[in-house]
Amino acid sequence: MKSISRRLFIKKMGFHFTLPLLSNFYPISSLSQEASLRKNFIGIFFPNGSYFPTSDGVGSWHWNNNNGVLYDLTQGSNRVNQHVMILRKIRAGFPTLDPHWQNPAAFLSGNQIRLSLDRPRCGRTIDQIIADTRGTPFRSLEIGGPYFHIHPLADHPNYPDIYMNRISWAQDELPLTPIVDPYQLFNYLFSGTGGNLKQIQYQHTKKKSILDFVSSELRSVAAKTSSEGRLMMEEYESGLREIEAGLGQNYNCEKPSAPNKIYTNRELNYVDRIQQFQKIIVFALKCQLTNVATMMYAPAVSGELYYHGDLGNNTYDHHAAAHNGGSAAKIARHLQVNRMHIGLLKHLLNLLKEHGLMNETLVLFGTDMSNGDTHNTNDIPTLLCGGGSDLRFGREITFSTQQTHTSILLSILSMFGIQRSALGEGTMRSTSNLNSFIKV
Amino acid sequence: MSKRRVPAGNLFICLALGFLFLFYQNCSRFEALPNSHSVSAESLDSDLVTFQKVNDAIFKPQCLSCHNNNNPSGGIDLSSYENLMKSNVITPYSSTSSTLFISIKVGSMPPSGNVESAKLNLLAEWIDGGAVESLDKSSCETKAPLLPRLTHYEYEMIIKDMTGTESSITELQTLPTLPPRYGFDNISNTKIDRVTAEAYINVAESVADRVISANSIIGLCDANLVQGQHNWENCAYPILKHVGERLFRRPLRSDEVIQYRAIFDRLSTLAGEAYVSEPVPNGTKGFNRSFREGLSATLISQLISPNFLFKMEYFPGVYDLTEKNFSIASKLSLSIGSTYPDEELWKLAENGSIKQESIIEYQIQRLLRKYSGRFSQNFAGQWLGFRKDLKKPFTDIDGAMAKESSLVFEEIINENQQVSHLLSPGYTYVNQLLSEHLDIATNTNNATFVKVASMERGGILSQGHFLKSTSSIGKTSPIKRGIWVLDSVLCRTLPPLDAAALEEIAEAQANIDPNASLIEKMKAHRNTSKRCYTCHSQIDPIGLALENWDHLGKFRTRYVDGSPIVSDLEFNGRLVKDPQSLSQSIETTREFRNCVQKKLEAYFGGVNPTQKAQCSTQVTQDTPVRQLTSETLLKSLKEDF
Repeated sequence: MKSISRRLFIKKMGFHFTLPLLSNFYPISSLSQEASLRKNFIGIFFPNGSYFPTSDGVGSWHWNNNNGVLYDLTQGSNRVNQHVMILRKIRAGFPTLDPHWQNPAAFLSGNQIRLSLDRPRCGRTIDQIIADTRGTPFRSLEIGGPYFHIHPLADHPNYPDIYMNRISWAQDELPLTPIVDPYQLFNYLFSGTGGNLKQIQYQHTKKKSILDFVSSELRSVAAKTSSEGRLMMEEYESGLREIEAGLGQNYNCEKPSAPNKIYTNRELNYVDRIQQFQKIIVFALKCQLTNVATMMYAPAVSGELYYHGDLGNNTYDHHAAAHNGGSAAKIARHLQVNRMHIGLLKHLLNLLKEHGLMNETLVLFGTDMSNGDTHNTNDIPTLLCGGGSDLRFGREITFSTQQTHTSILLSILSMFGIQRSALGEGTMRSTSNLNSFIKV
Repeated sequence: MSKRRVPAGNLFICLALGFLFLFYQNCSRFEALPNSHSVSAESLDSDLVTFQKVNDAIFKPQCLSCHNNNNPSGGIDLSSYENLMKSNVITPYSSTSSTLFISIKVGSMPPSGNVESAKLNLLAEWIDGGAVESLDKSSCETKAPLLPRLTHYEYEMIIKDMTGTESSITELQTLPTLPPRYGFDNISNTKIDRVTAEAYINVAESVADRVISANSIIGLCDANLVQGQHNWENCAYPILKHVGERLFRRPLRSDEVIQYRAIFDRLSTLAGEAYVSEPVPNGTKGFNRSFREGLSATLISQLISPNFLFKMEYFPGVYDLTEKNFSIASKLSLSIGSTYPDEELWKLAENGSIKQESIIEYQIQRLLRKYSGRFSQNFAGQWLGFRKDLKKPFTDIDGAMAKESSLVFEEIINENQQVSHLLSPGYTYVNQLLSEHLDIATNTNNATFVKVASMERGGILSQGHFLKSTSSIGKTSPIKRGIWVLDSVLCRTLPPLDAAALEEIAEAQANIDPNASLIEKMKAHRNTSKRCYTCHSQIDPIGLALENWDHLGKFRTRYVDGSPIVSDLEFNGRLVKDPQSLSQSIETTREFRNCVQKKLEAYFGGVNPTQKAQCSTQVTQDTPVRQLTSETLLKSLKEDF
């Protein structure tokens, strides 16, 4: 009987490690304590995939050397690669649907978008399913990109723009609006105008009185109008109630410093803007104000985003750079943007580490396509990040066949103690998680 | 007549003494005011050929034996309207772009013999009329309820008009974008969720400060009051009534006033206790802390009220009978001027005469003139895509181009010019930057825009903004331009680009000689497959005809490599060899007029512009845009009176 190598055996079992063998034996004690159920979830989306000069499904999405866009994660005293798991051979998307619209919307749901300008629908996302089980003062945080992308040409009839700009859906037809300004997020979580206790309490009472008054107005209007109108009033009232519930919950929290500017220009201070968001999110997690956050580093397509302020002036917007067509200048810009986003992920992971939150937090970092030039929906760049010796952080896991992105979502849910037998729809429906591969 | 207000009394005299004569004497600027509406838009029933008629005359006797649903020859199934349209051989409104028509006309179909010319004409008439299935409108989309939110622009205009200030409210930029519906944000049925609510509260807090500090608002209080003397009666109530009526666009109800009073009293008392140690400057006329806190709390309540943030005018059941008059006034004012009803409209709502159709028509025309700039910015700016660039300075080329587009539309409204003028106005507007950029001789030497006569420039298809924004980096994109024109100017819907289409495009591109000329490459792509041909037989003639405008909107006759610009394709049955012939092939068509009408219907009433032909009204004549606008808005208001 012919013997087979250990590596081949593992590969035949469904996955293999592609790091050098020694890398697989990262000293576990140096990583963290055992972590089982996670407390916090952060989902991060970036648009337009990566640069894939090779057809091996790896392209530039690796950390092996300077050519890899993930290289920075392995560098310096603040390296975080030990907290990052690279997942390879992940597929997303539905046949016949453009991934720029489909995959951001389905990033956390695995559901198929409905092509209807009037009634966009995607389906409930896992961040909201996790939020259902938490009971924190702030149910979840949704953080938006620097602008709302409206597709300028009508080459996608019946594709609502909302799909490119929202990754969190509370209900089938209810995308959640992200916060677009760090100061707004700060104010939302850590509001308080200063002064003595009596004055703070007064400001609290003032806001509560206003919210109560407007809530009663909403009920009065709801009672008079049609069922559709009533739903709109109820949604608004529910938002006000949520804000009211958060009032005064943060008196004993350690607050981050407040952002000192309004970020109105999408091209300026992009990195600073995202870092401010991440800092506030981490303080909110630490303070138990919330356990769930989603972020769009930028909307899908991002055809109006150049990153002039941080990366220098350039002819190509992000989308144009992704469609490189072999142009060296475009490739260089796309890689620059990718590396900037990876730098931002590194910033977040370091904050989590610094505040002792790494072991209890899972971060899913992904995009809408693999090759931004060809819109390939196999081999989607996907990272799962966090701490704990129970998961194979610090490694690359390559499945032998393309696995649905939804299977990862099922895995994530299970790590929050939520067992689902299935998730997603159509070709993205999954009935099995990937725990046996990503867990130690 | 610098101000064109016509008091209601004058109008009655006009009517009493003979409509036409005195109307023209007193209201000379309104020469195009129709004496009865709907002269340009007619129902379909009279003149449209239906599928059934064509089916009986041509398809059943001569085509169905091969093109049936059992084994449709060439994949073309004529057994039903639905299957025929799925076969992608009909381009509604354009027989000359429809492969089915072309193949019959050139005699390649049917193989058994020719279709006689009368029947061929019937087929052309059916397609050119929109290829309607039937005159039965029961299958038309039921209009979704219109429950719009106030747009950020309307928010800003209302605050600016109310306070008499011009400076921008920058905090509004922190509000989440209102997703447009059918391309227009003013009809967006978007809910206010928790994040949006929080953002509105933040904005309201700073806007309340702005309102309290505005001289026009402070002036509502007794001028002789000094600090410490302001109270509900002498200051807070006049302010809250003034602000509330403008924000809610109707009179305040008595129960609302009572509740505002309660908030004011409670919060000013509590603030007095909380801030008791705060030093009060002596001898100032400003508000003290407790009064200011009470006023601010009440103003914030108004600024985040559903009565302000939602257009309650459209919500069924919310307004009582007397308020309905204000609802009409407000719909007019918001739709055209993005603000609350002005004094004249308010009076008409108060005395109830706003419900008279003739008065509404007159008011629409007045508002279109008064707010032509705002209407141009919001309707045309969203329709044609230049609105976002109007925020840029006019010393920036994108900003200047957006202003050109806006001013031309404004002029067409002001001068009551025909729909066809949108494509060939005969003039344009330029400032120094734009005149130099486009090489147009003018006498302007600064940032001011001046009107210049031009047969080449100014039309929608020759405006710098359209030409530049539909180009790729450093080069034109005939594809982008073609698609934009089909969608925005003709309201044609192309089949979606699904994965199979993307694959076919990639395959087609791979097989095209990279050294071929643009026209050859486009031809090769167009002829790759039936699917490619369906779209590109429409896209390519438009894109190629516009090649005389380069990616920056400048005129050229040759490409950079010296090769001549050639366009040899037909569109709407005409050779379109340059931008002018393209405009001519579109400007007088019913399809273009209907498209303008559909965009107006979407803007005013939330009607889906991509519906089937039999679901829209037909604009049968080349009608003045102001008149068409007036008729469409009037029609959308019909349910109110």
